[in-house]
Amino acid sequence: MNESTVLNQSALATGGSALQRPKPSFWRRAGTLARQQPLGVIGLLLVLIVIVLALFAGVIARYGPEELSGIPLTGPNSTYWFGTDDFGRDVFSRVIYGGRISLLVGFLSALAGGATGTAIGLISAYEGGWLDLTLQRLVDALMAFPSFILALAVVAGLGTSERNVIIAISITMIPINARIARGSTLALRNAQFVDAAQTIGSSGRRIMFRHILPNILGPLTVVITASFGWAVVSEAALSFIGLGTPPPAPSWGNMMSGSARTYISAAPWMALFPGIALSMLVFGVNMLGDALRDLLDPRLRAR
Amino acid sequence: MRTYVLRRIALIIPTIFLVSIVVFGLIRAIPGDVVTLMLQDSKDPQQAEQLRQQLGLDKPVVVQYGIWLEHALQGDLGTSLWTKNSVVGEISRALPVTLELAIISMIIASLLAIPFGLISALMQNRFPDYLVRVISITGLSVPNFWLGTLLIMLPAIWFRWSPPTTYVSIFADPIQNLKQFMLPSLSLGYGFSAITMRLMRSETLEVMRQDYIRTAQAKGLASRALVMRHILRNALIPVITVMGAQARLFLGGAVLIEQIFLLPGLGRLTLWAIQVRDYPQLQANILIIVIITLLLNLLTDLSYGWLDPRVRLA
Repeated sequence: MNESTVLNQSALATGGSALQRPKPSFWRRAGTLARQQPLGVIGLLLVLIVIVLALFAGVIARYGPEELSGIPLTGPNSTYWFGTDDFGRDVFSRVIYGGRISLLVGFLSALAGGATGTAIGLISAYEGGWLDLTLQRLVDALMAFPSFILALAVVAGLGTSERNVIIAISITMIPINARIARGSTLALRNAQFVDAAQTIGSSGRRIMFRHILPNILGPLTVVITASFGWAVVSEAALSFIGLGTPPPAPSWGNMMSGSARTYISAAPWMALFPGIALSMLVFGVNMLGDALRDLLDPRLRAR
Repeated sequence: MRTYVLRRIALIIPTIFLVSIVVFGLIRAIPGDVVTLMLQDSKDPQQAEQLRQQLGLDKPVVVQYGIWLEHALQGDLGTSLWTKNSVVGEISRALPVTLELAIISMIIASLLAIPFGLISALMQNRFPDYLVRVISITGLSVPNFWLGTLLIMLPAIWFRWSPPTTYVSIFADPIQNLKQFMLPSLSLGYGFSAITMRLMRSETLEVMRQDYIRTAQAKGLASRALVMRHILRNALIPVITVMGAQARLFLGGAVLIEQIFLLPGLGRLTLWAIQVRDYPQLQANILIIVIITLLLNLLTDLSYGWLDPRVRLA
């Protein structure tokens, strides 16, 4: 991109002729990217499909998510694409409304966990000393929990609600984000631009958040994308065992448990479709994450 | 080496201490305490107070923690509020189930991951490679609890067969026991194999680029010996380490899978303790899970030094 800008300028300087190479259009660049990262683009499309379906659920869904619209346990047909559940609710409508919860929980927890973890790692590495030591022991303690067990314990402590699920999942993301942020910050702590900022008297906070943070965003984006996928699965898992989104609100996790398992051989579509939706979203996020890792953080590039 | 192990163990102790405080505080925060749950029908405040006193729940949390810690250091993690059994006893009954689940899933995961990953790398960018990559990406994306649900559902629909739901110990009836563990282990094992398969593939590709492989080829080593002796052995080192690190994931997955397949293991016990707010049981379970995780991390690090002589632990 830089090269072409330079070429454009020199072409202008010489009056513009043979050397002129137009800046590639957006579509052209998107095309190049799609050839380099085909799976990443498929992933992005899958995620976008889920986002669009969830955002416009009100327009797309024929019935409300909690509306008793048909005969219970009807198989998939042209009216009820994914069939109906044991209450006669339309499974298709519930799946796309359920996408809202998955996306919301995934997005907010990845963001909250990412921001908190990053702040801890950044401050810990920049300030150093006993603060670093204390924060690192705390991170170690959090890291000692298997993530899902930690989420389980936090939800058990706070009670089940959508908000608490988000809190629980974001706490499980703090250690990995803190580790990555700390490592990247340590690598930059003695960089020349940090010295320069210190010399002109910038405050520690300004150096951390204005100078160092933008430079460590690459690896963090990769981690946060991956944690989005993990958050979506965790929410579903918590709802599956009755500790997440409480029914009757539709969440992919709670749609797969309870009565879906009671009627598993009579009405397999009840558990099938939410699971497909969940797997599709997670697949999309994983592929997108891999592509982002290749693009943003060459050091982590898969061989 | 010995100093390294001792230092690592010394570092584990403050972590466990910190974890115990976190767990203790967290569980005490559970809204709607055990007393109201135990006295579902009776609303008699006096009776509630009495029960609270009996269970030691009337004291301040700090005092409760002190008492608990004193007992815990003597190996007594308390008594279940519901079953009145010692929580250590409950855990020792549940642990073998989870252990067996872990071992069988790990065997399934390795049997899938190592050969497939190796084939994928040896036939890079050919059809088997694409197939293996699709298998592993799917394994990464399909949540184990949904796979578990499917694995119960499909045989039930197709063959009218469902796995037995009453737990039988492997020593009592090995066939029945394995029938029961097959599907849950497969649900967990497939997911674990996905990560390992990808790693196995990339590690094999990396090893194949090394000079010593070219040397071995140059001196005319048969390709079979080359793969088995030179490529596989070297590629396996990081793979084994990652499989150790997956134990963290395993214990979380066990909660879901044991619940689906009605296996009376540690995960199911933990979930039950959450549902009935059995504080002593829950905090003991979480503590044991954390200790297992920390020890497995240590073992994983040690295995790395043992398998790869280039790594010096200090």
